[in-house]
Amino acid sequence: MRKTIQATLVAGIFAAALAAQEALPELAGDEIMRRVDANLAAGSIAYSGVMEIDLGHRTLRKEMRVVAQGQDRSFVEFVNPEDEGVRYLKIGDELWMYFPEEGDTVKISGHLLKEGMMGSDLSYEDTLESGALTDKYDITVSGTEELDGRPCYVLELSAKVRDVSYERQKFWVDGQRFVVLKSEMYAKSGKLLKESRVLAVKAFGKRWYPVTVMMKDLLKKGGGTVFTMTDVRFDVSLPDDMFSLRRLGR
Amino acid sequence: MGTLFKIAWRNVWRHGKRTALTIITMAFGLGLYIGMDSVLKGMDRTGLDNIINLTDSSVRVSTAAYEEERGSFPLDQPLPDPAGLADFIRSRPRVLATAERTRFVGQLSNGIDALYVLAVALDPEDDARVLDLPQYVEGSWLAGGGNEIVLGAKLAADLGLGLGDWVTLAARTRWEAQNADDFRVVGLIDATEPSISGSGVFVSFEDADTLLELDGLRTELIVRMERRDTLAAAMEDSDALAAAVESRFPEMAAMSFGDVGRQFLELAKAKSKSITMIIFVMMLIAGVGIANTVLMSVYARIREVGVLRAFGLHPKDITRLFLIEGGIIGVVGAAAGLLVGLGIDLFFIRVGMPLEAMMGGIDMGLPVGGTLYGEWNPDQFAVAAVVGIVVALISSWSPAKKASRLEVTNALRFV
Repeated sequence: MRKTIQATLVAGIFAAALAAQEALPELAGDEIMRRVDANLAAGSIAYSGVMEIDLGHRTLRKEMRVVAQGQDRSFVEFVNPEDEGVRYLKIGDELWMYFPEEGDTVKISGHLLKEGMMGSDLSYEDTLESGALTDKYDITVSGTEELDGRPCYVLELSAKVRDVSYERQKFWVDGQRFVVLKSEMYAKSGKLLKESRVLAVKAFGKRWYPVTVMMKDLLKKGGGTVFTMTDVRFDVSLPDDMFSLRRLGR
Repeated sequence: MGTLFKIAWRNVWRHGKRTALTIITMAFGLGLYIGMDSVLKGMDRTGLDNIINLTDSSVRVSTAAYEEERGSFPLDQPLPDPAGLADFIRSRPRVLATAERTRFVGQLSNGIDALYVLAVALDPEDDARVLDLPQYVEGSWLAGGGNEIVLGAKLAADLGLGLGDWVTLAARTRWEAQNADDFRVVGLIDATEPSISGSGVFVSFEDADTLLELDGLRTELIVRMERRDTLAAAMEDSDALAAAVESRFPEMAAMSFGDVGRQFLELAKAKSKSITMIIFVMMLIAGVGIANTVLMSVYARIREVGVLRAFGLHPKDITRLFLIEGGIIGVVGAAAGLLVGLGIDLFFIRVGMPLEAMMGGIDMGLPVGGTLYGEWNPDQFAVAAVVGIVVALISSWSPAKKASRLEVTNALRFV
């Protein structure tokens, strides 16, 4: 009798998992990414962000206000006491940083771009990534899996151009909400370098948007960096000079 | 004069403790001066040796565009024709060898911590003909290929790595893609150049070609020239070669040992101010001590001065007497100073100063590392001796004049 119950339970779990996987319609990789991009794309977005950086021996907390337009323009101002007034401006693939104490604006370039942003697991270069992934990667669906109770498409991204940060990436895309719940970034050698996990997704009208993301640099130990967005507003009106060096240094 | 000297000699040692104290002060000041000079000269020599033997070589050539962006070590500014450039340089006089290098920014990880590093890809054999890095390696120098890495000893210690350990080196390829590979630590460099011990990362071109997709990309060429007897000659040789390279290849920037060395010596000049200040303060203290010793001698012997005057000694002789006393203190003090200086000098030259142990691992921003050795500089012994005697004579002048002006009758009545 006990064995029968166990077998029934196992079968039930498998059946549920199978059902969840089977529930996903067959879609091409490009189509899945197009739906993911549609979820993320916004004319403009404004939010408050908190970055918690687990260094292993201590945790740093950075608070910021962020305004962005499309993928190419963003303006970040830190508001936590230690970094109050520090600002970043990203236009295309260029990045500037403003230091309030010195009243100085510095263009982040060269090897500085490779360092972690404000000590986080996210490099400045990661923040400069832009452009549609479908233009840079061949995307194939390698299967479906359940992740955190959500049915997911598993996508393999293989670079089709040379100037991409990661030769290969692997995405777990929520098959119903079309949000990338997990991603793995691989070096050209095949070594796993970074991993990101979406810890919370929120609906904004018909749009599902990741609001808590954990990024982990696998070259070092530590709990990674958790980024949480609050007070998210889409299609906000912005002043004309929002993304200008003049405003950065104001 | 002989009698005056005998009287002065006797008087100097009549108050032995006072005289000894003055001489000790002088000896300490002059000895310190000689020792400091030895250390600073040694630091300059080691710094210049580091430039030519460990970091920059006699001439370092890269494209002018690369030199402008040198801080970011770009991989998109390669030497257009490294082989042609090397052929031209090797055809020039006094050139012994050339080696190609490619510097890049990477991230070194032991699996727990990751540090950003400025790494160098090189040909192990060629590089060893130009720079002396292999001489400072514990373990072995790169053999070429086989995922081997040589690290600065301090960098390795910071990451808890030892010989035989594996470490991950991550970097962007020349096409900006992230790449990473595991390397076995085969050598640890503890050189006299702090930047190499603290952050040196060296891999062979064979491994770097795979890691960075170099496809033969080389960003700089370094050159070894014949060793010359004088610094000026070595600088002139390198300046001439750099000028010839820039004239033949206008798109290139050639940094000579002369350029780098002169910048280094400009910085070293600032250090010499500190030694000047030290000797000034010490000589001021010694001068006051000598003046005090002679003045006390004058007051203690006023009646004696009266007697000498009564016997017919001219006021000028009295001045001479006390000046001789000061001079004796100066000569003996200077001799003692030279002895102390010689001792300090020999210690620094033979034993040296273990900087890391003395500083407790704190980075003091010194241009050299490891054990700092002194430099023999006979000129400074002569300077110290002259300064010691001159200071003694100047300090004695006022008390000597005071003694010579004493009235005979007043001096004889003085109790």
